[in-house]
Amino acid sequence: MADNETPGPEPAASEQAAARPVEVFFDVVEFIQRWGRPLVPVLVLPVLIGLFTAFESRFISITNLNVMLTQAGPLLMISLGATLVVLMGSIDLSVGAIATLSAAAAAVLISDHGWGTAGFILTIFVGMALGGFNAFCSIALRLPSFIVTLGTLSIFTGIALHILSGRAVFVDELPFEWLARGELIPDVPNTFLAAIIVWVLLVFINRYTRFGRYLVAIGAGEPVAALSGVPVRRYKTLAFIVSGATAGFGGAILLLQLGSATPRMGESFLLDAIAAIVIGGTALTGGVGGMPRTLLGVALLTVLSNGLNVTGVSIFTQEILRGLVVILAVLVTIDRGRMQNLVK
Amino acid sequence: MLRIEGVTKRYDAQLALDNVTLSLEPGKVTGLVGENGAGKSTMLNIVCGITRPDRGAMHLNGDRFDPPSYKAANTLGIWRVFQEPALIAGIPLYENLFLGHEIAFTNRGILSHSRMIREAQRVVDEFGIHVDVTRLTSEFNYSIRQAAEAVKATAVPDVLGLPRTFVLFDEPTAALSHEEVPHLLGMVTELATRGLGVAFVSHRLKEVLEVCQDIVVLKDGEKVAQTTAADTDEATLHELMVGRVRQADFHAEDRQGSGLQDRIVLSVRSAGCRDRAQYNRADAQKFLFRDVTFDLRQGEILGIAGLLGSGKTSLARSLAGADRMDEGHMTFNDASVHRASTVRMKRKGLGYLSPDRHTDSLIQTDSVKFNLSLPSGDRDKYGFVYRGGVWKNRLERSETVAAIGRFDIRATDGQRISQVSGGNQQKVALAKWIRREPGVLILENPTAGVDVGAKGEIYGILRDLAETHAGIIIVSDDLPELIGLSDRILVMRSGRLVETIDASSDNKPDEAYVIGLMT
Repeated sequence: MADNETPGPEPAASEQAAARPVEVFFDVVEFIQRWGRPLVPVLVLPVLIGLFTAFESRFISITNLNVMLTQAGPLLMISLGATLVVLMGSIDLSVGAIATLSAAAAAVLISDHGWGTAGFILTIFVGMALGGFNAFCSIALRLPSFIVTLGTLSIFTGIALHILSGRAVFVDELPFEWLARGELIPDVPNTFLAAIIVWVLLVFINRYTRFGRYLVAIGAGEPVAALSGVPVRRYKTLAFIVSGATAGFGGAILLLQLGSATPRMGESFLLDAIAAIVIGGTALTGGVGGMPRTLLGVALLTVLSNGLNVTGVSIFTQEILRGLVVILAVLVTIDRGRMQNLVK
Repeated sequence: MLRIEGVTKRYDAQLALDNVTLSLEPGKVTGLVGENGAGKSTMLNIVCGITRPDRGAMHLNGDRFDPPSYKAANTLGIWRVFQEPALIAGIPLYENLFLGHEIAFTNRGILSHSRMIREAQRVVDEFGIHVDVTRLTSEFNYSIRQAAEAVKATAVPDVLGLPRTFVLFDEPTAALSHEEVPHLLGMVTELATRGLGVAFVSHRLKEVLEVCQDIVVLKDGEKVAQTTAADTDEATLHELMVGRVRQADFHAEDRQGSGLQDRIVLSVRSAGCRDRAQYNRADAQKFLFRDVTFDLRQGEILGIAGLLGSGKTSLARSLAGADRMDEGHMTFNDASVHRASTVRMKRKGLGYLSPDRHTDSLIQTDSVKFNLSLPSGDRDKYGFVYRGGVWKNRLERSETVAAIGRFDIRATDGQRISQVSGGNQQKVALAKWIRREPGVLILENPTAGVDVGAKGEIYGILRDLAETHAGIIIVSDDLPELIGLSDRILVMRSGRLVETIDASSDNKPDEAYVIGLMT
């Protein structure tokens, strides 16, 4: 009901006049939603690429594409598990912190204790354990995931600071050098390839397995799923654990790329991961969206930040533009229909 | 007088209203009847400014009437009582009553809560609902919230000095229990005697005949008849609505008991459930139901009757594993059940259909197919999943198409549930359990908000199910349905089982007798 814009009944005429441009705006938004909700990011991507190329032809040079793929790898990896959590209507704000903590643990084990490969593999298990802790708090203790992961974001960061004693830990001899620097496919960094392989796996899981389908069901209607005999708690726990695993592995990739673990290495990934998910078109309310959308979101976000860099836009302006893109993305992708459920 | 002339409204391919003309007169109650999807709700939406017609015009007391919003309609004197009370749960009741009209209580931008509370309490008391308006809306039960909605639509305009000319009721009794209905109908009549015009939409024709003077019958968006209550009866209205003579054997009573076996599928012994909503220590020992003992046989349809708060809903949920049972135990197919959960009970072969299609039994934003397969993510012969958790999409699709054919669901497999009519939604919800061939199916108000045609079809489906293999428990507020379908009826009152009535086809109890036991 559009009945709380003005407080009183008197200014009906002016209310109507004022409502017009707003209505037109929403008509346009609705048109986009109706005909191209999943298509908007697909259409915006080439437009952005075209624009940046027009301003700076080096944008689509092989070298720069390689840089973009390198940047996109860890972001994609970290966003993937978080997408599952968002899809089921919860949120995981701790993914950046999980990446930091996993990388920190691996760095210390590799450089100080000579763990080598085992330390690297361990990141995944550290991530799973941390995700399991998120799941325990939000599911067994019945707390909202937003609050839980806001808290664990801080807890995990703090633990990472302890492990690293507040400084950067350099890893001289990295295992999996081939993964960090190699290119199995020419000009495609292996780190990105790894993220894409995990993406393909999760696309399949999302679409063709019980786990993936039930996550969508839980996101779209948790009581319905529960009354249909779906083990809701089990699948929610699993989603948090998978989210932790991909975040942990994302941290490992970051460690490989940087050659060191720093207390702030995962910080930017919290907002970037959520932004990528939302820009892609997965609704924060759950039940709508999925893995392909997140790949698009990561692509858009990477193209945007790299393009703005290459074309020499001030880093301050970049922040503003990035925020605007997130807001615009939600505007065209959100399901406004759900808000009207009150009045049928 | 509100005249609605030649109103037409089209939603995509579907004509919701086709050139409908009718009028509401002060001092009269006009009933709008028709099957689901006949256009009743669309008509109310247009009158109260929520939707706008594609063609046609409305005139209020001779002036052109074209409200751009519900609030604009309010200020011109049109109020509506919504089917689902449109009240905000987390704020006090008095704030809900004056929501959107706080300006009347402000002085230089400062809102006077005390004056709002005083006025709200006065109007609420006047209507005979004795509640504290400063309590949170969520603390009140459905019937109070519904009554508050009616108060809002009827008495608040007086307080605010707004014109109050027409009130629209949309299925106001659908979720009320038996004892609450007369109070509401009394309120409707009272409004008319005070000189207001009332529009009354209901599926319960008996109520429409009781309370309305004029009756307009809609069918597929067209007005097919307009009569007065004195000139018609229930059977005639049914015939007009569905376009065919109502079958005498609506509940298929001739088929009753044909699948009845001696085998007991579900047996419940002194079951009880605490009221966990009571945080107050003195009430901690309060039970929602207690000492409930009964057996359900294969092929039997067991009805459970009771008023709101009798514990019948809670009992159904506990049997399904949705709520924890604190006392007693149950045996399912001769195996004792420990720590029932919806997951475990489903695996044992139980299906539970909640009364609320919008939030509990169907995912409105997903497809018919998605909803149909929701309970069947297991690996046994009823599931759609291979070992390893991979979904069998092709089987899912063919099963959906088969169910659409078998239950005559008027929808396609990929269609969103929210775009499917109420009766067909209910058939999807039934189909999702029946395809699993449940040993026990528990249904709550299975035909609430469902049109007459679909009702008959659902009754047929339940008879088929009972004949083949299942025991069925029906919890319903619709007594004719409960009596017509059941082999036995358990009557619950204040959490106890007070009577078991035999209702075999040659020995159907009287409705009044059952009501007598309930109260």
